[in-house]
Amino acid sequence: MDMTKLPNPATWLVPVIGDNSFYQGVKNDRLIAAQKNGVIRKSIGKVTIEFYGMISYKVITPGGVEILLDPFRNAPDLDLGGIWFLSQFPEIYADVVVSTHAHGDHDGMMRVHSPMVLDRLAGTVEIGDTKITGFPDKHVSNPENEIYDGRILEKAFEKHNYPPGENMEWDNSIILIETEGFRIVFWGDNRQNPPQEILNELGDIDIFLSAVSDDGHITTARWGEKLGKEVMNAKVVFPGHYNVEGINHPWASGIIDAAQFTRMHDHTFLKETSVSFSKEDIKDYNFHVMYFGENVNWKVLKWPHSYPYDYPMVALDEWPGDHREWEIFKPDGKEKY
Amino acid sequence: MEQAKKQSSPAMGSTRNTEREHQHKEMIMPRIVQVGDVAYAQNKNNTRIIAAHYYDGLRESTNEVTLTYYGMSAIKITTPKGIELFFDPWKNPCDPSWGGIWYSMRMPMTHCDIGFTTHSHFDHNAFEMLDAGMILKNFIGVYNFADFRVTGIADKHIVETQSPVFTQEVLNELYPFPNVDPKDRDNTIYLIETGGLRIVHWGDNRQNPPEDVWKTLQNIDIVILPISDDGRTLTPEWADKIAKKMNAKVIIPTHYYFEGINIPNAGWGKSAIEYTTSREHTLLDTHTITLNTDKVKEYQHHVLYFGENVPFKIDRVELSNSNNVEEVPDIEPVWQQYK
Repeated sequence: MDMTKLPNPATWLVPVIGDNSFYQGVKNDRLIAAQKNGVIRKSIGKVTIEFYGMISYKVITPGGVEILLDPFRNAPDLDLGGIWFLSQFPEIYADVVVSTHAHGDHDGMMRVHSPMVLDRLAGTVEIGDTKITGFPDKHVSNPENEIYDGRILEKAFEKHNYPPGENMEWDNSIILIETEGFRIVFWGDNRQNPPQEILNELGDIDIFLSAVSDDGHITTARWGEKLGKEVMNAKVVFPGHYNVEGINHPWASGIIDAAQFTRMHDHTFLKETSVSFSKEDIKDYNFHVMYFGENVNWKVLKWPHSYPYDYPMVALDEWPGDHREWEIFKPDGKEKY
Repeated sequence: MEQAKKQSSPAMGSTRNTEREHQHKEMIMPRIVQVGDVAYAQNKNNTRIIAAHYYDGLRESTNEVTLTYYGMSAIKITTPKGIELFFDPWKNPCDPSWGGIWYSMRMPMTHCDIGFTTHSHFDHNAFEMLDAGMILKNFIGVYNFADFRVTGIADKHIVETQSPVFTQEVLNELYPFPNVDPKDRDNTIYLIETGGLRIVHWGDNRQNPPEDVWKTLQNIDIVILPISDDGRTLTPEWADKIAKKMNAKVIIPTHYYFEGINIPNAGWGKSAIEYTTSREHTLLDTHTITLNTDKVKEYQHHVLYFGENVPFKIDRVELSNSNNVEEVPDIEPVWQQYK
C-alpha cells in the first residue's frame, strides 16, 4: 500500500505530540472570508445545533461560522481515568474549536480539522458574526448526586480537585456565544455554584448547552433546573455528558442517559442529529428540553454488549475477493514443482 | 483528603514524577507521551487567569511593556498589568522526515498566562512546552482581555522568499510534504495593543498580504519580523519594505541562526547581524527589554537586536573539535558474583 496516496497519511503514521494541524492540511480560507465580509454565508437567521456525543456540540451561527465545543478523546495516559470511549471522535471540520478544560472528554482538539483553537478561553473573541466569551472558573468537584461525591472523585482520580492547589485539570471555562441576538451558554463541567459575578455577567440566556444527565455525573437534574431555569432563564436546554451506546464505555463516564430529566420538563425528543431555530421559533419556550438522545452527527458502531454475542456468520465464499489467490502459481498438470 | 490539603501547591495533583524532576531541574518535561492537548499534565491552575478576569490585571500598571526573547520567533510580551503573552514556542518535529532536526535542544518548559501560535509549523507551534493558563492556537479575530487587545489577522505563510539561497526549488526539495499544498499554507499575523504600544508579531507571513491586512497594520510601534542575513524567511530587503509600509518605529529581528539552539546547516546559515548593523540599531546585551511610548517615540525603523541572549542556559557542545578524550574507567565486573 502506498501510504503517501492516502488522503491524510501523517495524522496516524507519526506519533503526534502537541499540535497536529500541520498534518491535517487545514486551510483558514473560510475564516479569511469571515474576516473580510463579517460572515461566511448570507445570514439564514437561524442557529444550528449539532450533537456529536458526550458533551460535544457544533454551533453554526446564522452567518455560517462553525464552532465545535469540547470534542472528546481517551486520555493519553490511562492513569488519567482509564478508557472512556469505544469510538474515536470523528475527524470533522470546524472553523473554531473551543475546549472548556483539560479532561479527555473535553480536549480532543487534535481529532478536529480546524484552523483555530480556543483552549480554556477567558476574555472575549470576536470573529465573523459571533462573539465568544470565556468565563474562567472551576470544574465541579462535588456534584452532589446520589452516586459520587467529592471524596469518591478525589479517590478515583487520586488527585486533589478543588482550590487551592489543584492542577489545570480542575479548571473550567464557561463559554458564552452571542450571535444575531442569541445568547448560548456552554457549561462544560463547571461547578454548580460559580461566583455571583459570573452569573450576573451571563444574565438571561436563550440556549443552555448543559452537562445534565440522569445520574448527575457532572450536573444533577436538580442543579440543572436551578441553574438553567431559575438563574439563567434559559428558553431551551440541551442535556449532555450522558451515556451513548457505542461511544461511551459502559460504566466509565456516564452510566445512564438523560431521558428522565427530559420527561420531567416541557420537552422534545429530537429524531435528527441537528436542530435549527430562529429567535422567533423559541420565543415562547421556558426551559424546554431538547434531547438528542443517541442521535449523533456521525456513524457510530454499536458494539455488541449482550452475551452471547451475536456475531454475523457469513460463508467464506460470499466474501469479496479471491480466496485462493496463491493458485496463480500452481504448477501445470502436477501437484508440486 | 485531609492529607492532600496539607500538601504544598503546586506539586499537588501533578502527573509528573517530581522526584525525577528534582534531579533534572534544567530539563523539566512532561512524563508521558503527549498527544494533542497537554494542559491536563500542567501543575498550575487558572488562578492568575481568574484574577485577571475579575481585576483586569495582576498588578498596578507599570506603564511599560516587557519583551523577552526565547530564540527563533518565540517572544514573551508582559503587559503593564502583568499578563504574560507568549508567541510561537518552538520544537523539533515529532517525525524528523517532516522537516528534519533543526534544534540541538528543547525550548524549556516556560510559564505564561496565554500562549499564541501563528501557524502550525514546528518552529512555531510547541504549545506543549508552555505552562499556560490558556492557549489560542492560530487565533483569528479580535481578542479582548485584561489590559490588552490581540487582533489575529488570517493570511498566508511565505512561499517565495526571493532569497538567493532559499529559493522555492530548494525549499521544495527540503520539505517535500505529501499532503500540504506548498503554495497555500496558513499564517496569522498578530497585532498586540497594550500600554499604548502597537506591536506586530509577523509569524512567517508572506511579504505581500492583501491591502485590507495592511490597513490594520498602520502606525506600528514595534514589529517582530523573521529576518536573517541569508533570507531564510524574510530577506533584509523585504524586511525594510514591510517596516516602511507599517511605519514601524522599532524592528526586532527573529527566526535567525542561533548557535547552541539551531543546528548548523540544518536549513540555517546566518544570524541577522549584518542586517542589524547596516541600519540604525542597538545591539542588546540582554534577553529582556522594557519599552513604553516615550522610549520608542523618537525611533524610526530602529533595529533592536537580541542576538544570542535568551533567558535559559545553552550548552554549546562541540564534539567534533574535542581531541581530549578522557580514559574510560573500567566498570565493576558485577557478573562475577555468579561465577
